[in-house]
Amino acid sequence: MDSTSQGSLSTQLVAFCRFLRTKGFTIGPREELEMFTVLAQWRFEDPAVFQLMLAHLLCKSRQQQLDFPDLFREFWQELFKSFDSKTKSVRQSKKRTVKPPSLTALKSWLYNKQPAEQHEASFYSRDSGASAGALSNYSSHQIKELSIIIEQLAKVWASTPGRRKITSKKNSGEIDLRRMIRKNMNTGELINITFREPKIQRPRLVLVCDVSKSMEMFSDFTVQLLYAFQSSYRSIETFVFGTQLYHISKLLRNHSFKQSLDLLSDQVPDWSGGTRIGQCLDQLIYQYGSRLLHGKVIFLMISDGWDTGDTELLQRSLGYIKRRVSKLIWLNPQAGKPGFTPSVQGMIAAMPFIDYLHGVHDIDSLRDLKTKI
Amino acid sequence: MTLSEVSDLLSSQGYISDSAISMAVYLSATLEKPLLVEGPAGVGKTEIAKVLGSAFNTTLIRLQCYEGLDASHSLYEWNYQKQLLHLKMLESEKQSVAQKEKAIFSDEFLLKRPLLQAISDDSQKQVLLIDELDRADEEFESFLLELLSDWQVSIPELGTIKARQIPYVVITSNRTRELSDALRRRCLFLWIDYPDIEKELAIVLSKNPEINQSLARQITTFMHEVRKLRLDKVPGTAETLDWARALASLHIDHLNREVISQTLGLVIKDWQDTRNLQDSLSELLEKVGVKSKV
Repeated sequence: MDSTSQGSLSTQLVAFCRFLRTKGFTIGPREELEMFTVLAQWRFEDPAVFQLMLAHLLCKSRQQQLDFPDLFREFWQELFKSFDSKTKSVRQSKKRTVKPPSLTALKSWLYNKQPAEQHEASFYSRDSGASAGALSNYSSHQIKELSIIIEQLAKVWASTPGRRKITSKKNSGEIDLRRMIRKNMNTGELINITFREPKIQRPRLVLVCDVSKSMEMFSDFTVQLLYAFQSSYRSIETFVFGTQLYHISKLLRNHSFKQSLDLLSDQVPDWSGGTRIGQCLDQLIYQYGSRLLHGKVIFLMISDGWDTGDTELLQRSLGYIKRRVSKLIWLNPQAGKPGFTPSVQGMIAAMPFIDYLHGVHDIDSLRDLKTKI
Repeated sequence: MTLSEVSDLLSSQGYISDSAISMAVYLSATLEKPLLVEGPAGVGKTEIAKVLGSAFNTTLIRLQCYEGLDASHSLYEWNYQKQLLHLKMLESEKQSVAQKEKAIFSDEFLLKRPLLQAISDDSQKQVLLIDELDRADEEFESFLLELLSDWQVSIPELGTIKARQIPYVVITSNRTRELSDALRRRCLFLWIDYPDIEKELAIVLSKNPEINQSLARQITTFMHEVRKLRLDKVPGTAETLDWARALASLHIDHLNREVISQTLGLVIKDWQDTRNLQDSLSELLEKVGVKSKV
């Protein structure tokens, strides 16, 4: 490879990195530098080996590795076009083809609710800066309040002593030699004795939320609750479902509420549709069960139990989840109503497996959850 | 070292690799970057580090992660008993607190744990295996960042200790939780999936040279079909190797229903999975080409 072609290749590779960044890859100068370091040491004659090298240097997760071959092909096929216009056009074409249906779906899920509960949140649109801003402002106070309650809930749920040790305030537990030596350096005698004890662990959470048509009237509270849980609770994985299951933790983590709404509208098309709880839980077990469902997990389900799917599968899935996790808590927005009895198909099927059923439809009802459990 | 040399090195140690594994190991060695290996249990993630240790003829330092793992178990600890004795001996001498402190917080009283051992040996590059990092807390993961990017650690009493030789680092994870983006960015990523039939056959034959070839093929085909079932704990290559070793030691030269039923415990480790597999056994045997009735 001569210096000209090497130089041209460098430009193309920088553009390729830029292209990948638009697809969610986290590629910084460090990765680019490493790529050129390897290129400088090696003559790549086999395109497959070249692609493999780039995949290893630029992908940081399994999903990225799975997406990489298609992105690689897409980019190099478009090589002769301007890189800037390429990335712009890709973004624009995606806007045209993918975003509107799901955006409309999320908007409709947020919009279609009882008149008494309509407010700014219902008018959210990613293309309307003012409305989105209004929703962000409106939500920030509620989200803050929700986060405080979730923090209190986390303290209530934390009950298992872990293996990490912290200094004991009650002077109980095992002797902390490290601290004790420091404290008694002056005297040479062990006069001040310090203790350490196991730190109480917070459980991991798996939060699964129904976003089907029947949940529309609670949509703005539910979306904020999901966001507040994901942003304030450390060990949590969040999913939403209608007729399919979507893993949305990454869409909510480290983003503002508005950004999260944009990402959700981009990537989850299933708002306001039908409900197949059994199938979706089965999908969760199959795809994530061995990793996420274990004895240190609290499984939180948010759903009204309206279900058009297979009841037997729902029972089988809940039975499996119940066996694997420490607690199965079902938050049903309808359950807060006076005189509520589980009468819909999904709730009747689920009742034998639920440790706690609680009605959560607003901040006060979430606050109640803390005292009930 | 070239890519083909890495492939040869791995195969010389009996590790059946593929282009992705060889490339990852090559890049990790070239760029002196940790290799983060993810994949299902029992596919040979930990084995990579062991193989590298023997291939480079160096020590393998292993840090098994668990919940609550902290700096005192992974990096260093002071020998408190020795420090106390020393303090007692210094009692009669008129030394200032600073002098006493300097004396007892020195190398003589330092117990090196795996991470410190891996960076403080200047005689040769070590292989450091940080196994099942997902089992450790997020705090520990953050603690690792300084080591993995700058190859140095800070010990309050001694200051910053820089690596004399940057070790080969292999980090494994079973994905019971997602590792942070910060850690991922400091590593090269390698995903190892269940091997295909031919690769698994090569692994079985390489690890059990005495095994009957047709039995080995039946075992690997059977395992391939078992993995297609919806099991709670899908058996990995490790289970295949255990099973092959057991059948070879029993001098069995072909699979049949009875042999499978008697030795199923080596492959399936969950009662529900055992029931599921027994229900589908006839179908599986047919796919493997074994007659149900012998």
